[in-house]
Amino acid sequence: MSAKRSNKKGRRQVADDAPPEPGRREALKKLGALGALALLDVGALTSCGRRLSSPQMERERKLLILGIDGLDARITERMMARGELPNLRRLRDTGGFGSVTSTIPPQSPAAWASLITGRDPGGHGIFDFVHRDAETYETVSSGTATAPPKYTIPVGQWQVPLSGSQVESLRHGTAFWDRLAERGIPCEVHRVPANFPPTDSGAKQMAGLGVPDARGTLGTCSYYSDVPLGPNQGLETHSVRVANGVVRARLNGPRNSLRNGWPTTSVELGVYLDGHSRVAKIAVQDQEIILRQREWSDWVPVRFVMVPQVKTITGICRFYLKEVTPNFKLYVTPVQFDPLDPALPIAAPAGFAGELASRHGRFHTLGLPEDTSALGGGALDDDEYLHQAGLCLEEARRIWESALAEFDRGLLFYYFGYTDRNQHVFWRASDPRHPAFEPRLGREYGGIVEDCYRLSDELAGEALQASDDDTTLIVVSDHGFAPFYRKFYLNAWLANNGYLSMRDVSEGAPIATGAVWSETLAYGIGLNGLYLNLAGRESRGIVSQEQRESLLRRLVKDLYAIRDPDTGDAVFSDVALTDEVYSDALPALTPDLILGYAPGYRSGVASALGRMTSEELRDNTNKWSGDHCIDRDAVPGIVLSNRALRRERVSLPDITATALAEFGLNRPDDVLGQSIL
Amino acid sequence: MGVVNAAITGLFDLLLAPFGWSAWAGLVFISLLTGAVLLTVFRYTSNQRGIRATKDQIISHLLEVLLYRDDVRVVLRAQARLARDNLRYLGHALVPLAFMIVPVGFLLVQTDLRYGLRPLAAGEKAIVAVELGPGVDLDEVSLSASPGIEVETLPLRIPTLQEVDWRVKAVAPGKQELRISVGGEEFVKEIRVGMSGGRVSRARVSGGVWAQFLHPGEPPIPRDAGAKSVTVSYPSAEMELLGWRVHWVWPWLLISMAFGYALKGPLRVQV
Repeated sequence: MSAKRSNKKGRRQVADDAPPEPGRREALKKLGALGALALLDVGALTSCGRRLSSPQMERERKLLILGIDGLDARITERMMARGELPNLRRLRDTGGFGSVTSTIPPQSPAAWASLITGRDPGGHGIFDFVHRDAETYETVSSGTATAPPKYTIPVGQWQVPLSGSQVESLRHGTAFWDRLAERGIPCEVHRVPANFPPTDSGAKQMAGLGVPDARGTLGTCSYYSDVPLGPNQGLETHSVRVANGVVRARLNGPRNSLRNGWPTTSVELGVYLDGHSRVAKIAVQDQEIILRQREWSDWVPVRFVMVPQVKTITGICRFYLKEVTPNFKLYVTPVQFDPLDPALPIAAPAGFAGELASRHGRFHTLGLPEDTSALGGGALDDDEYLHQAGLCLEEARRIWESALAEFDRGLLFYYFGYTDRNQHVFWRASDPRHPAFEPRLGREYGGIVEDCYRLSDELAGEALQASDDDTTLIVVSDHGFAPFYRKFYLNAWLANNGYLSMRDVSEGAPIATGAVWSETLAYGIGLNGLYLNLAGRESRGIVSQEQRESLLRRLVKDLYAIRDPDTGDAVFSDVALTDEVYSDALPALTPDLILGYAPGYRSGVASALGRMTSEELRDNTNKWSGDHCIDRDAVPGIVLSNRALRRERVSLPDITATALAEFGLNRPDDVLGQSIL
Repeated sequence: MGVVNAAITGLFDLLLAPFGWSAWAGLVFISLLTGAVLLTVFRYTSNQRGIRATKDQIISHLLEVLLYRDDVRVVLRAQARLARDNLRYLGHALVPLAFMIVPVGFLLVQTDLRYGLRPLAAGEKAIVAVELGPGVDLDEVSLSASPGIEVETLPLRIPTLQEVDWRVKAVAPGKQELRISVGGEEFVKEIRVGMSGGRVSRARVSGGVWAQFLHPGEPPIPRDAGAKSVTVSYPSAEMELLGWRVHWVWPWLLISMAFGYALKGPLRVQV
């Protein structure tokens, strides 16, 4: 605890002790104004143009940010030391390289929200992928809230809305590009997480992580087979029968909020098989596609009828004919919003997604497009998953290359998530200590984690090539990576140690309905969050404000004391009191403790989703084998620039401050960081 | 029917030959032709005097409603007569409609043959579907293609539909050929790649007047070939109208109506 406290103080000092806005900049701003009056020659202006500021020059500057999810500082350095990653080395040698201290917790939604708003999670209000509803104790989305129409008129089986439904971002704070766009600086932002729905500030934005599929989930794929798979999160299996070479099934779409009971919409799917030729024809609505066995389709638009002849929602999906014979196996990606006709505001201005699709063809719009659930659930094998993820990467790169080619001023911020997802699911192939490691895996897929870094290097090379002398290039990741050997089930531990009282202790029982709240002191929701059952905050809270401090102290002590019975290692290396580590706090929302797992450990998903398990610790034999939702000091990210960095340890809010400073904007009070250039 | 189709298709080819450079130019010309021809047919097949008289009656009833709006009885009676005369007016259109339906049918089919579908782009894929006659063995069907087309899949036999499908990929622009062999009998279906202007024939069909009327782009499949039809899944063509991408029928309707109204004075037609 004491080590943590001194550590946290150090972390906060980064912001507090950073040098004030230099007077030199103010002086140069004045020079810039003079330059605008043509009292200085153009050459002089250009030579010190990066530090000059006038409205015209603000608009002419170029800042290119390449955001790459999950690039680890140690792996990057190790590969650079081996002589690999030539473009990143070039950036390091001619500009600067630093290590990024991620947020507490180092989860992508929280980290990217900090990077774009300059606030810590206490300020922007995103602590995890999921939060808890203090009224019901159920898990809820941390990033967005969807409100159905306020008023409706029931007409038979229909609900006629008198107003539109609303999708609201729960992220607090202003994205730095919104501040730039307000000043007339052209901004284009692609797929950056924690930016859904994007605000209509004038910046061109395509939303990323946080955009749901058409069913409102983080991504639910469909799998049709006469040999069905078991249930798995994010995977809907359909048991089908092949009759005379024909399969009849339905593809589910969004729920219909315009009908009583919100039934799930669906469309008919006909599949005609030829076992001899190993080909199949898929008929959906007025479209037909022929696929060979082990072949992927292009994007197929599918219309789901909400009100016949009046309202439809168009989704897009890809089909993968996994097997025709001896068994029938068909995989369908999550149905995603069609960029040509999106039902939700996935872009700003509204037509931006359609503009991109018209130029580059349809593309994925789901926030987490690489289907790790299908891999984990067995619907796709390793090669098939890699192909699917590769298709997503191809689409992203097509738009990236075009955006780079057209980038002539202002801000271009492009995000890639492929690196994060592939490290998550292929860590097992490169780490012989991992419980899911097999020598065969190592031989076939052992290079995939490092391939993510090679890909990032290529992207950085493309960015460098597109950068001229007036361009500031920043390559940044939100966190690093670590192995995930063992799963820890917080709620089981809380129950076994008298903090959580359960009426129903069966495997998978939800704590929301299975807990005895009148006897419960604390519970876990999310991968790192621990909440006290606080009176006045939780609907059935019993912990008073007076008891809170001592209970938290006891919990911190007990959590630090947890040892893995198999190894004797501590499960937690950092247990953070949110009162201490966040500069600001949203009292109703903020967990009381953020648990920083020691490398090798992470929360089990069941516990993160508020469910009970019989065991506290379990080997992780899943394909999801690398992770970063642990102690942030164990997963440093990276930052590189073509300009010299002022310091080697960088916090994510520093990127906000840097972006604003590059265009001559003063750092607003709510931005914690300081410019690194 | 094959001879009629060939003659009409040849006539349209001739008429539209100067407009091969632009789909819009061709469609405007067809709309002009539609307006002029239909007005002329209407003039000589309708009761022009009756139409004029009925229109006068309708106007007089409208005036009645306006002038005597304080007198409920008169207004109600005028409205009843309005309804009656409207029906009479529609009745006057029935005879010319019967005369027009055949030329309009050919005109629509011929226009759709030219503007309904677009040729495949190089690299684009399509499905070729051969529907076979009853009793024909699905294993006896094969497909080969000219060098500009690549047959990408083995045959997909669907016994429940008596159909065999392939996926093909357009490789080189031009008028390409699909050669279909059914039990040793071979016939050809054209497939167009990357050519703007001209006919895009979705299907080549055998026998049946109605089927041939709908697919005039190619001669009928020989009766003894064993196939009922061969279709290529061309993408739909769209035209840009005020920023919207629409089917050709909408601009055709609007422009031919505009021509109709513009020409009814010079042609002295009561409509």
